[in-house]
This record gives sequence, C-alpha cells and structure tokens, in this order.
Amino acid sequence: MGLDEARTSARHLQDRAGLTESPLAHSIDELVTEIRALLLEASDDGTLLTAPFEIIPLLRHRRDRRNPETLTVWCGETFDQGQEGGQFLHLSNGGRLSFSLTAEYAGQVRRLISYRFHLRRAAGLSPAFLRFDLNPEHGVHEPLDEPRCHLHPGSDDIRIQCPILSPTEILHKLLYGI
Amino acid sequence: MSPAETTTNRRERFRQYMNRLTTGATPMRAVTEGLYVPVPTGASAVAEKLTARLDLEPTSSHLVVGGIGTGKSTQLLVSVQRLRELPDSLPLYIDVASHHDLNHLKSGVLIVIAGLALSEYLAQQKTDVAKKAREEFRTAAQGYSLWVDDDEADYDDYGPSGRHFKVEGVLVPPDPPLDYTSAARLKSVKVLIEAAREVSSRHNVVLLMDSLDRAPNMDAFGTVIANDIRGLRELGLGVVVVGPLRVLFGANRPLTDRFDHTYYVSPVDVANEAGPSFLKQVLLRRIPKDILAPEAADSLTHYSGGVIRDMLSLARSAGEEAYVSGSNTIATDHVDRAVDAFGRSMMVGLDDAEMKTLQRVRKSGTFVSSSDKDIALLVTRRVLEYQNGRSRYDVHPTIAPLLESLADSK
Amino acid sequence: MRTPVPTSISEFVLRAATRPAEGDWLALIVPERNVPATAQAIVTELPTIAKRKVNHISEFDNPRELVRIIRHSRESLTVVSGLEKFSPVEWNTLDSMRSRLEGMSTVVFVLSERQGTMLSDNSPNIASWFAGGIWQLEDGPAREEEERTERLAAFRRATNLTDEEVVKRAEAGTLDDEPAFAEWLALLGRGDLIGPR
Repeated sequence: MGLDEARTSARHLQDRAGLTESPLAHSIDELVTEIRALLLEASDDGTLLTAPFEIIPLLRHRRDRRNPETLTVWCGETFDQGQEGGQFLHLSNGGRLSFSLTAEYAGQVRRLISYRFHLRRAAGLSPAFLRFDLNPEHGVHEPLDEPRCHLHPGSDDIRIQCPILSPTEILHKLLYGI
Repeated sequence: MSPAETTTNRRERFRQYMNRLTTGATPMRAVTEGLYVPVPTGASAVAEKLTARLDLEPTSSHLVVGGIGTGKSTQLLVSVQRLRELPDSLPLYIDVASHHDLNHLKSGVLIVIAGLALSEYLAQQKTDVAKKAREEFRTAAQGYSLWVDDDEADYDDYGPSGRHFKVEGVLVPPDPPLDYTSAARLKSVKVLIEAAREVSSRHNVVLLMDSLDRAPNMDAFGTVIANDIRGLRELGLGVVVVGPLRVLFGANRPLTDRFDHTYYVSPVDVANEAGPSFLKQVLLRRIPKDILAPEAADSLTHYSGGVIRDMLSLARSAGEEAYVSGSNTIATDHVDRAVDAFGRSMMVGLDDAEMKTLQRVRKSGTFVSSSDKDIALLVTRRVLEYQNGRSRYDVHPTIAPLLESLADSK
Repeated sequence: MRTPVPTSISEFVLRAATRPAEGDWLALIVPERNVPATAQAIVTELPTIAKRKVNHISEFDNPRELVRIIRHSRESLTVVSGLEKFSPVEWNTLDSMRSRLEGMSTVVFVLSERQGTMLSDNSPNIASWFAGGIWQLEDGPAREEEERTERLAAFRRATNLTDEEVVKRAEAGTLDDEPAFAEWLALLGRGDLIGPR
C-alpha cells in the first residue's frame, strides 16, 4: 500500500540522513566556544542586536554531574510560544532566537543527542517561525510522521525530515540564510 | 543587503579607536606620530624649560622626576626634538634600561652607555673617525653583559709589603676621585665627543638619559650620579637624567644638589580651566569625533586627574565597555564603568595604613610624606601632587568614590 | 569595594580579544589553586574568540627568562601563569626590565591575589600598565548551580510537570521524546535515561 511504502521510504531516509552526521568540535570546550564566537561575530556585524555582554551570560552550558560526558547547552527561553518578553537573542531583522542542545562526549565518541533551535520571525512574516528539532533516539515514532531530525516550517504539526546538522550549521542558516 | 554586508564590524571599529589610544607602546610613538600636544605653562611643561635652559647653558645638568605615567619620557623626547632645532645642539636620547639591567647599576655603566650612544651616532654618520674608541665601548659593553667585574688594580695603592708607600695628602676632596676605569673611559668618550662635534658641526652635545627612575635603590642611583654623571659633566656635556621621585625626600635630597636644575613633572592641574581644555585636546587629537560623546570626554578628563596616560587608559577601557554593552558610541555610563574598574585596580595591594593616609588626603588635601609607603603613594599616583605655584594634593579621582564609599560604610 | 571587578572567564576572554593587541596588559585574579586550570581555560577560548594565535607561558626560571619568552612571542597574544613563585625581588627585577616589554601584543597574567599585591608593591611601573585591566574571577560553580535551578524552574512552569514526574515517565518509557525533556533529564543528572530504550 502507498502508506506502507511511504513509511518504509521515510525510515530509509532517516537511516541515510543519520549516517552522515555533521562532525562536532573535538571537545566540549571547543563546541561551546565555537557557538559563542559565532554569536559574538553576529553581534559584531549587526546581524544580532543582542550585545556581546548579554550574549555571554545567555549562552549557558553544563555537564551532567553523574554522567560528565553528557553536555547541555542552552540559550534563551525553554520554549518560544510567542510570549511577550523573555530571554532571547534578538535579530536585527526583527526575529528572535532561542536554542538548546544535549551532546555526548565520551572518549572518541562525539554525538548530538538532541537539539531545538527556534527562530521566531518578525510579525507578519510567513512562516511565522522555523524550528530545527533533533529528538533523542527512541525509535517510537514513525519517521513518516515524526522523523527524529526535522524542521517545523511554521507549524508544530508539520515536520520536514532533514539530516542532523551541527549547531553552527543551523545557526549560520537561521542568522544569515533566512 | 543584509546587515552582515553593510555594517562595519563593531569590534574592529572599537579596536581601531583603542589603537589610537595605546599607552603601553613606547612614548616615542606619541611624539613621532604627531600626537603630542604641548603642555600648557606650568609644572608639567618641563620640555620648554629644559630646552630654554640648555640653550642658555649648554653644559648644565638637569634632573627630571615625577610619578609613574606623568610623562617624563615624553617630555624628554620632546626636548630632543626642540634641541635639534637649535643650531648648535646635538642631543642624544638614551634609554638606559634598554642597554643595561638596572638591577646591576654601578659606577661606570653610564659612561659606557654614553660611549655606546656616541658610537652609534657616529656609526650612523658613516665615518671611521674615532673607530678605536668605539671598539673600546663595544668591548666594555660586552664585558658588562657577561657580568664580569672590571677589576683593575689601583696602581696608586700598594700594601705594606709593596715597594712604594702612598703618602696621603692633607686635603680630602669633597668628591672621591673617579675610579681608574671610569677615568680611562671618559678619555675615550671625549674622543667621541670631539668626533661627533666635527661630524655634526654642532658643539653642544647633550645626553638625555631615561629610565633611571627605575633604579633598584637610592644607593645605586647615588653611585652613578656621583661617579658617572659627574665625570660626563666634566667633559663639558649637557646632561639630563630622569631619576626616582624618592630623590626629593629625606636623606636622598642632597643628590639633587649635584644637578643645576631639578624638575618635577606633575599631572596637569585639572582644578583650573586650562587643564581640562588641554586634556581634551590631547584626547580629541587621537580619536574620531563621532565615537565619544562630549559629556564622556569631560568625564574622562576629570577622572584622569591630569595624568595623560591614565586618561588614555580610561578612554580605552570606556571604549571596551561601550563595545561589550552593544553601543556604537561611548557615553558617560561607559566611562563610569571604566572609572570603577580603574579605581579598583589602583586599590589592589593597599594596606590599612595606606588607606588611612588616602582618606586623609581625600578629606583634607593634606599629605606629609614621612615614610617610604607615603612616597610610594606618590610614585604610584594614588596621591597626586599638583604644582602650580604652590603644591596641592588630592587622591586620584578614580579612587575617590571608592574611598568615600568605604568611609560611609564605616 | 577594594577588590577588582568580578567577571567570568568568557567575559574576560572577550575583553582580552577586544584589545587591539598593542601594549595591552590585563590580569585575572583567581584563587591560587585555580591558576593553572583558569589559564588553560583562557588559552582554550581566546584563540577562537580573538581569531589570533595565543601563546601560553607557564614555565620560566626567572624574570629575565620570562621577558625573553614574552618578547619572543610578540606576534601572538600571550597568557602568563606560573607567577606564583615570584618573590618581591623578582617582581622588582621584572619592573626594571620594563623597557624591553614595551610594545608587546596583548599580555594576560593569571595570578593569585597575593601575587597581585606583590606585583602592585614591587613592580609599580608594570602595574601601571594594568590600570583598569585587573579583574577578579567570579564564583563559577555557584553561578552555574543558580542557572541550573532557574532552568529547571522554567521547565516546570512551562509544562506543569515536576522533576519527579519527568523522571518517572522516562523510567517507564512514556516520556515524550521532545528535545526539551532530554535537556531536562540531563540537568537533573539523569542523562542515563535519555536515548534508546
């Protein structure tokens, strides 16, 4: 049946997308510094209105005490539901950005566990938001409906499958490529 | 076009601004890049007085002292420029510390350095004149670099088992004779002076010796003054020495008598109208007009306390504060943050006794330098002495609010 | 009030990176036991933020050698640690060699409060170059814990769930596989519950 074939095709696509993960920085410190440098550069060239000394405390990271190979990085609010106020990176085009990610750095293994990069665009623009999501590996959802790695083009119910991107690749896209 | 394509990079813009205010670079830069603004008449206008006196008295000797960062080196460099404009003057600027480790300052060192400086001048003139004398100083310098003491026996002095006995004279000269080595080297210096005069067609050779304010102790400074400077003066040279501020105090004071004139480079007095106006000129000569708000410029001149180096440091820090806070121009709140950081930096290492002294100066303007610690407060600019007819003391403006706050909290 | 302004390593690194790298001297005061680790953290971050080569000097026998090494690395930004062994005499010697250190690229000293005081007392000329450029490292662990607590509270407010409910659901395999919950578990120290089941 068409639906079965579509599901199989989506699973294959997910496997193929997952096989070529973007390389991550060699260490936790390098990853965080890379992200911080990118955001500061964006502030310097006027893409971000957020000042350098606002960016630094906004970008936070922490290693899991019990599992120190697990890293969490976050910047801005937990969710962006269009609420007034809150902590975000503000773009000069009127948009605002928040993101978080978890990663594993265990010896030679470096991988992204999950991420959420949410760009809310200026009022009146369509789509109203873009969100890159990487769900943890659960294998519960059908990739046809909810692929592990996907883009929400302005709707929480629509997910477009995409390869796992590195944090800097996503930030470059959202800051400079929209 | 996206912001990335149209907007000048903020960090680069502020870097360029800060680069124009560099203070840790050599003082030479301010002079050679045309950034120097002549100091208004007053105690800080040393170069004018120095060159006027050397014009009238070419073989006179001068001692220049002042706190760190008050512009002593700059005044010396400006003096060199002015002296060069005089038809008969040949000034040679010597940074002693770049030739010799000041922790090993001893008699003879300045004579060798003077010989090297004259040698360098003659080498630049591409002449073989006085080649032998030049070689001697290069050898002597290498000897000093290896820290080998030039131990030549004093042939006038033989022990009881010797073949001659010295009969001491009745008169005891006020100054001990120059040591043998120094005396010998001074003869070579004389040869070089004559050569320099011939090559340049200028008769009045003036040596301007910088960085002796960093002499490790007053004994070392006193030794080179008593021996080397005395010897050089006897050759008919004009001599200018930057010395330690401590020379003005207590048992060190008689050292100033070895000089014809002593100058104290004081900060620019910010209490009168001319001072802040001059400081603003210095600032605005270096930076683009659109980056610094006028009120911020006023604030910088006030909080500098008249110390140009501190004003430039504060201006740089204010630029940094403006950059990190996302602003495109420097406003008074950026200056305020820079002032706070600067003041806190100045207060690192102060003990309770020093704090007490500073509070007293802040409240009453009285300062009596009765100890080494008190003098250190002057040297390090925590206490500023303004000499404009009469002496006036104040704490550095960047620490005044912090002192006030500490006093209020008690 | 008498202490330098507190700062984080990242803020300090940005300040160092902002300087035009000609004659800038900055110092970061940290507890003595943290000097090596802090210096290393700065050395890790600074090249990326400043986009310049950074040289770390931590081994030197005496002030003369330190001066020689700093002069040798004048094309790079320089971070100096290992100053804890300096005596007042050595600081004094360093000060007398000030002329040889003029015109260096940005130099950062990482040192304890004790050595900061000694620098101020015995190297007054070099200390004057640091004026306005001395900072104190803030209490990082305390601030990080505060941030974690705030983040968890934000998750609870946004979802009306408690930490315990999230952990329970994760253990039961019924937790939604949203990225936010992965982060939540990691912040609770339960990164072991994230991932394939």
